[in-house]
Amino acid sequence: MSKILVVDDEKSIRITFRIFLSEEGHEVFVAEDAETALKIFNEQDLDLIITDIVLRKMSGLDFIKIVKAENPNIPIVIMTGSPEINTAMEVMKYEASDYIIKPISKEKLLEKVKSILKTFNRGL
Amino acid sequence: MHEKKPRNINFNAKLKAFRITLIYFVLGCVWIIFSDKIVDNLFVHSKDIITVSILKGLFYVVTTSAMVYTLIYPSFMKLKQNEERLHRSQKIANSGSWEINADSDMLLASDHFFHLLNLNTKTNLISIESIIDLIHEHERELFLKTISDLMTDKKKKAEMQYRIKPQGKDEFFCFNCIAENEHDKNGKVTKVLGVMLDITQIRRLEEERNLMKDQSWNQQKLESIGTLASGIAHEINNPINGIMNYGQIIQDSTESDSEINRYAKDIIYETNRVSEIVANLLEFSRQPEKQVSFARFEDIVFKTLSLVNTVFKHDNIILSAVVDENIPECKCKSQQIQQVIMNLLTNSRDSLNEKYPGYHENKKIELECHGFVKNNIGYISVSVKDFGMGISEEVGHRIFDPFFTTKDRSKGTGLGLSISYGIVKEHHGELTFESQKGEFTKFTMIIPCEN
Repeated sequence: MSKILVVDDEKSIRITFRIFLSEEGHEVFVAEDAETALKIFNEQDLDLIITDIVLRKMSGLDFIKIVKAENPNIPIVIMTGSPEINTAMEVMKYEASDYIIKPISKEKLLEKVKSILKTFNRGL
Repeated sequence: MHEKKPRNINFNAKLKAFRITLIYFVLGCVWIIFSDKIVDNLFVHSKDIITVSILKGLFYVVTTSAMVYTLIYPSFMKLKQNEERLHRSQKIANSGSWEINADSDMLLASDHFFHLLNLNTKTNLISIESIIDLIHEHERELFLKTISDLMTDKKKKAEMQYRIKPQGKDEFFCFNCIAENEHDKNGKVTKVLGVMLDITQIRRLEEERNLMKDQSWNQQKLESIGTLASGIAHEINNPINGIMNYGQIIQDSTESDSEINRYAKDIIYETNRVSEIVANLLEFSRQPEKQVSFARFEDIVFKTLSLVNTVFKHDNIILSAVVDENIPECKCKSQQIQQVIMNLLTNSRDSLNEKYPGYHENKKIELECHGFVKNNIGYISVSVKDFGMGISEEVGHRIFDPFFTTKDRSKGTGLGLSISYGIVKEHHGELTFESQKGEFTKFTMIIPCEN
């Protein structure tokens, strides 16, 4: 069981991702903006953060920067609805671990989460 | 002043002609009077006198003929030179002159007038009706009214622009026509005279200039569409992901053979379709790629088809696609190749819609994509065939010219095929076409594959 934080301003994503990941036995936290997310990040010992790049108030990338400054080892997966050629570059630039292109099916989401947790030896 | 000058010239010419005639008259009289006297004094025998008289007569005829020749030849030469000068200046100015006599239905025109209209004549005469047939149907009435106004003296001068399709040509040329009427002593109109100037090139340049402006504006618009598409993709993909996931939750929480479960599956399937279309649109609207990469033509073709499918369905166009499976990946700029296919499909669509505004069993496009090997080099060919308007030989010669279009300016910029041609050439390929006017058009792009 792992502690996963899902950051997205889209309510449907927060609700459904929570259901999917909870079903797998993970403890899921959700946040609709970076501010709430940082609060949870500071309170919980998270194993994985899944965040959208586009967030209200603070961009997802700025959020990652702050998180990485505090905990460089935490795996972060970024989500994007408009994949650009440089998405992969952005992932590397912000030291995120991987990326998800929306829309993503339940199956693929779980697969991705599983493989990342495995790579980072978390929650196993 | 303008009126006086020609009169002076006329008077001088008359005086000159009168002097020459007078000299000839005096010399002739002197010759008749004195030659006979000289002959009478020199010859006695009547036989000799007859012979000398005949010789005298011959001498007279020869000298008179020589005089007539020397007098007439320069005039004819001058006339001919003037005619040639007129022809040459009309040729340089790409213009022609014409006149219509009152109460006549024939038009008398210069050689270059007939050349401009691609007409053959020996008499330089042609019926007005034949000319009207060449004028654009929307402008025929205007032409007739202008001529009638000039003939009835309602107008003294008129200037109009007409689109005229020269005999046997497929496209209209633009002419500027200036005409005025001529009166007799009683003020009655005797004829209408006019000149016409081919301003097609000027018009084209003007249009091109305007198009350049539009184009740079369009370019900016396209760039902003690219940015917009990315934003839209984000906005659409988010809720789509939500719908997809809710569908999944419903599917997970219902019996697998239940109706609701089936509906939920359909929801997921449909959301996948939407996201695929958004992804293709996003890819299409992206800034041009600078790098070549390996791509499967099968993917490029189907991505393009997914973008046009709805529009084609709406237009009742039957689209069939035959794509070879297992065509190896090819090094290319896939977005640009997609642009070429998109352009060919759009042209076919426009042509079919022009021919069949509604449904027709022949309103179809056949797309084929094959791979083949020739001289140890792999090639990929993509052909788009439609059964629309077809291309005439004349249009065919200019089809790849930039800014050349047969479509309405609001519909086409005349750049699609020239850009496509450029893209295919950049890929070291060939873009060719075969067509039969009124029957079909088939464009084929052949791209060599390095691998």
